[in-house]
Amino acid sequence: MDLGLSGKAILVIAADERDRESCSASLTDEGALVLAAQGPEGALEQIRTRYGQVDGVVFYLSVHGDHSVLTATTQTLLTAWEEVVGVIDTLRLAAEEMATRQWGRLVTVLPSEVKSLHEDDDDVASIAGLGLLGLQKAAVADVASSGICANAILRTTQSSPSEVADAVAFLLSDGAGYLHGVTLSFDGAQSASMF
Amino acid sequence: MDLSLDGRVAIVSGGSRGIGRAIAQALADEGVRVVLAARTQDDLDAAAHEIDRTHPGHVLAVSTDLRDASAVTQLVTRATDHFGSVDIAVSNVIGHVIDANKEGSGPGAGTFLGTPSASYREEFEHLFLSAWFLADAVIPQMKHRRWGRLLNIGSGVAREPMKELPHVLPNTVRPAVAGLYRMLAKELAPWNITVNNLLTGSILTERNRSYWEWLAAERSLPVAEVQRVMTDVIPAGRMGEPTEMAAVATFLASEQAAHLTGQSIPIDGGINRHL
Repeated sequence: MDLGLSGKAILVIAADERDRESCSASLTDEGALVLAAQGPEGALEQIRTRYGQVDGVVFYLSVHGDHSVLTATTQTLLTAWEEVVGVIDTLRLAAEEMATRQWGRLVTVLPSEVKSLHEDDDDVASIAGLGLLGLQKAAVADVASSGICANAILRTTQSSPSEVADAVAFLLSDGAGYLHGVTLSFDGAQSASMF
Repeated sequence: MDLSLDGRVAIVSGGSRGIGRAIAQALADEGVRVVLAARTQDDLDAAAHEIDRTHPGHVLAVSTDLRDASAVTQLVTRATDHFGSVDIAVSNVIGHVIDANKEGSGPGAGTFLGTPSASYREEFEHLFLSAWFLADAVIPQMKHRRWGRLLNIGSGVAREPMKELPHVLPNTVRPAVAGLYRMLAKELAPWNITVNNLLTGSILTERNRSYWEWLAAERSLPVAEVQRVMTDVIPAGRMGEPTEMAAVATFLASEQAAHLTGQSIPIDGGINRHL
């Protein structure tokens, strides 16, 4: 399937090297122009300098914290939230530019804990992830009519980085143009949640 | 129905106005000693006076900034010293307002494209940390007594943002609060502490009325037209009363609701119909 990504400039922000590499490989295979960064700071300027524009932003949430919210500290929670705050301007400024061309994609990759809230899960990561899910759904109202799709992928620690990267590529594609505010659980049916 | 709440002690934040005040009154009517916490002393005193008229000696007003962890600790200490315990804690804090200096202003009508990142930090402190601080301060004594009720007054936008009401800040933070409450529910269930989240719809409060006035001015529409449009989307065909929020909160605090925990419950006349 031609995903229509040839020549699209995609910014991939992921702290983990394997995520950056697998996502870049999958998107490059589709002919996308990829810039992979460890964090959001300066990343938008870099991709604009290199490719002249940005058509898609992929953000992998990296926060890790205490397993239980009962043992979390205020500082842990604030630090986790700071990762959400840190990427918002990048998503917003990228969306402003995408709106001028009536085409754009925002994809966030989050831990599956966001939905499952299992006993051994990372509660702090869930809190940050839930914030990003809420943001993505709220952003839809603002950007969907400008041809910009904001969607999310939930993955477990067992999810293969390359499979997640392929799902990211699909969400960036033309074919995913009517998906707005959707959350894909990439967890091998681990989550028993109905909705 | 006897809800077996007589003699329990509740802290109700935002308890001087609107939904918080209605919850405080309803709990007091069931025999609960209530501690009202809010920032404005005059409003607190007025609300406390009203409850004290019908339930003498059953109310305490403590001016508190819920965003300040040490102030919340002091609030819980004062409540415990005065009434002997805290059994019920209702977190009821509004987030960003259109004009912080204007009493009654509603939530800020921010869009994704028009809201800078720093505002999200502030909103997290308002909505998330205030709920976290209150829970954190009361959980030890609830665990010790093996009984407790944590309630958060959230909003339907935590589950379903409304296109017509672009409130990106609460839309982003409230899901995190809902998640926090579900995590706490899981952790605290063995101690008979229930943790639930109420998803508010359109409720006829002073704050909402002033919000509709603001919205009407923004859209150059009569206030009645704004209210009509907002009412049209409610299957029940009317807006809710603060007393209807209070009734659900009071039931959730009761002995009968001991097995009801980890829930986010919409009280919105049927707007939110997710399976």
